[in-house]
Amino acid sequence: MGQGLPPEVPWVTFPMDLFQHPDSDVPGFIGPKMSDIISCLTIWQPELTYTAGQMITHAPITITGKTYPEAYRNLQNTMLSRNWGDGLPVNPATQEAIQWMMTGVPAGKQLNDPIGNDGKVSPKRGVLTYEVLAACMAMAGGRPEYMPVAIAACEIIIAQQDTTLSSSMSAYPITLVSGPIAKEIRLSSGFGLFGPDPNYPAGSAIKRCLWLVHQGAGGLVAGGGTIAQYGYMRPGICFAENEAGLPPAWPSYAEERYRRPSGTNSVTYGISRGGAIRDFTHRGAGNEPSHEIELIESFDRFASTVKSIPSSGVPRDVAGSSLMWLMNSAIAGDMVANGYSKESIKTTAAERLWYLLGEVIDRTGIRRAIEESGADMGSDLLQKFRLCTNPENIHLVVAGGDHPSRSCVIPSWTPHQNLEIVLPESWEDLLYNAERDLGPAPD
Amino acid sequence: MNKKDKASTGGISRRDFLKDAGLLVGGVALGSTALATSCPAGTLATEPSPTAEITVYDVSGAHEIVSVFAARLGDLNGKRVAGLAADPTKWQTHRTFPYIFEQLKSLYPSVNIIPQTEFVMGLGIDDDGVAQAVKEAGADACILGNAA
Repeated sequence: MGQGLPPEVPWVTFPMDLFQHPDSDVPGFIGPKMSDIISCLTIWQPELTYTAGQMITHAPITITGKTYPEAYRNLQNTMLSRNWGDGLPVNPATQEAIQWMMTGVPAGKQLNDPIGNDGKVSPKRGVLTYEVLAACMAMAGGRPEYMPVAIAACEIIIAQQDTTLSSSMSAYPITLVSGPIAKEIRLSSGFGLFGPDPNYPAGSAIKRCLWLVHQGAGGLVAGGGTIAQYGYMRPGICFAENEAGLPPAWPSYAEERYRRPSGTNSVTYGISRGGAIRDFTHRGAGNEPSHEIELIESFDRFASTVKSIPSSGVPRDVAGSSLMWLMNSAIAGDMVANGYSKESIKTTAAERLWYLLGEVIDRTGIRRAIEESGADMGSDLLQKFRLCTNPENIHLVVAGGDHPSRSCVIPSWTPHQNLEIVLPESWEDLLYNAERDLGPAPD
Repeated sequence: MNKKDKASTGGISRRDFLKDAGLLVGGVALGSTALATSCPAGTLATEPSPTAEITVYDVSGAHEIVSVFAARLGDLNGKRVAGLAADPTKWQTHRTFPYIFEQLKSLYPSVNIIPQTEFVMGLGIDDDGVAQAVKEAGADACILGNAA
């Protein structure tokens, strides 16, 4: 369907055993199905008739029950049986709920307008309209003031047409919000950054909404449209940089990477191809060496953590891949107090991002991968293979709970784009309503 | 608000009713369609309707059919059948396609095979240029594999 073809496909499937063993019995597996293969070439017809240019649309559905609670339970069952839900209870995407979400959309946008150029979300390329996005936000338990963030993220998703999320690696989306909007909508930049938080509920709803977009319009149903083997960290993460906690003169992530003027609301959306690992620990037992040595050791712990990742696969090329390093403001401030700058932190870390080939040589296929990449094996690559040759491959973001102990690494971070967030004319009204409903926003 | 108050006021606001019914949370009415159908205009909602309905919107998005599948060939004799490999190694088209092509030739002796090695192999086969290359090679049909 992602190629614009009808949903019925002339295909023949085979069990995994055919592919898992190099000596599998090819005639034994394929022979019995040759007639199916030939039928697909010679006589196959779809059950329904389609025409080029046809738009397959879906009308709303009505779920009933003897009582409202029963109807609500029946709704949850329907959401799952139709692959519209994600396993958690959803709020009904009723007309009223959608209209409420639309109050967070800039004036002039109609329900059936596609998001971005054509609204098509890869790989399935279902059309994401404002109505569909509002329905996803309603189902996710969101509020209209989250819609500007979701719209910007979806515009990036549609523009990029990236299909990494459909692959077997357990990639997951990352939505990083910059600017004052984060606090306004109650999006966390601190403790429990990625997790559920009743005081900062925006992240949970936005990431869930975006995943419902990927699953619905994009077709990423586990085991079907996406073959991510583990899917850990899905539906993804949505958080804000702690811009108030930036050390003096440190540019924000959006200022540094995308030259956004200070105070601009923007979304950076991208993909991580792997999971998160924690590394920086201050034990505080009282028997530590000098703090200066402790900081150096922290870099080595960071590096050793990151080094474990490639042994599960192969490096992409000699330059290494990029990663996002989340450092809370307490640690960032401590680093600055000990003479580090944002640049020197990245450089010091990058200098340590290599591993000894002797540790994994001939056991993980990494030597093979290095040779395939064409890297010069004549230099010290025989001893050390660099994970990260360019400190700019380390995307340093100040976020996380302000406790002087841990930072967090998100490996294989691939930012797709940064877009400025457009606020609706009713923005102040939305914030007023949020305060009425939820109480004052946390400081 | 109890029943007596409802009666004495001669009517209540929609918001107050929803609050009283325990269904209004933060200004959003869940299942408003159900309640609207159970509250005809000008009446007080004193008892719930025997059936509840919730109408929700589909989140799968519309789907545009850009092109339909090509007509099937009937007889493969005299036809050219190409192969496209979505992965040149891991999904082992180098093992499966030769067998498939061999079987086709045994059943349709004058079928012409254009093996997958004649085209780009790997994830790039979804590029429009690859489809064009297959057409320019004179293929009447194409088998894509293995794995989507």
